[in-house]
Amino acid sequence: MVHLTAEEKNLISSLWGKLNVEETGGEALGRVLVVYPWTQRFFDSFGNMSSPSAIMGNPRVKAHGKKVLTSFGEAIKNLDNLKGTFAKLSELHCDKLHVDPENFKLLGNVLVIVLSTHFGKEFTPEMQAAWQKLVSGVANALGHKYH
Amino acid sequence: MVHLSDGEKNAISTAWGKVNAAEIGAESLGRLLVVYPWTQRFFDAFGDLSSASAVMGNDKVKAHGKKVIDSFSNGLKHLDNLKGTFASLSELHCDKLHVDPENFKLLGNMIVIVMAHHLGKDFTPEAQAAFQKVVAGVANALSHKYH
Repeated sequence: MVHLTAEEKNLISSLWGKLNVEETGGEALGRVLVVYPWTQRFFDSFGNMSSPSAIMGNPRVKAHGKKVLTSFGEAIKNLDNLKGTFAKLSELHCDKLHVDPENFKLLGNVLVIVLSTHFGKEFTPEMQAAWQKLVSGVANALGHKYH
Repeated sequence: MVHLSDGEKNAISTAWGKVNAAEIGAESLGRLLVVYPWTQRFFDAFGDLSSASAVMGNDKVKAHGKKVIDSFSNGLKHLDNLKGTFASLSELHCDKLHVDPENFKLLGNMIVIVMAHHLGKDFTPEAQAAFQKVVAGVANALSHKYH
């Protein structure tokens, strides 16, 4: 279980309130596909991913990124029960999607980087620390039902 | 050895040219100590590390961050021979400093996040991908002489 102090929870919610889920989600997923090109294998049906600009501009990447980050929003409402919140998604990623759980850490890392590019002064060391805890908690929760 | 295309090498020089290396170094080391508090154990002699603001404002942290980043900058000039460039430092970190090489990856990650923070939109997906390759290469090179 991820142990976040009240202050860390506040920091997380305050940044969440300021971000554009569609833009941020699209960018995070896009950057994962650019920086770790092997991850493109999970998205064969997405069309043109032949270059960074193709990926970042791809409407299916953006739509899926939005879907993924919206799910993240659920985590933020349930910080005390990430494993429960992501139980079904964990089973889905294991049993149907066959995604190596290492990829959840990669996405979490890229999300932190995207937040860092978007938020200047607000992305303080404390803010970064809280978000790094959160993404690692979400990655763990998503790996939890793997067998 | 890190294999970078010409495009990637350009992206790196362009991005590096826009930042103040000493600032990047100080902030990366500071954020490492905040986000991963166990790393403070290597810096007992640094004085007050009792809060995020104490860490980020600490003169010894800033000075040491600059020292580390100067070494990193040197690495950027020798991308075709990172192992050779970092051989002595690798031995030092193993034999005298007893630093777990996992920490090199953590610091590399901090450098990427701080670059993202400073450059915002200019830290394009291509620049991110190139930097992530470099920091992984430097981390490998620093671990290379471990025994």
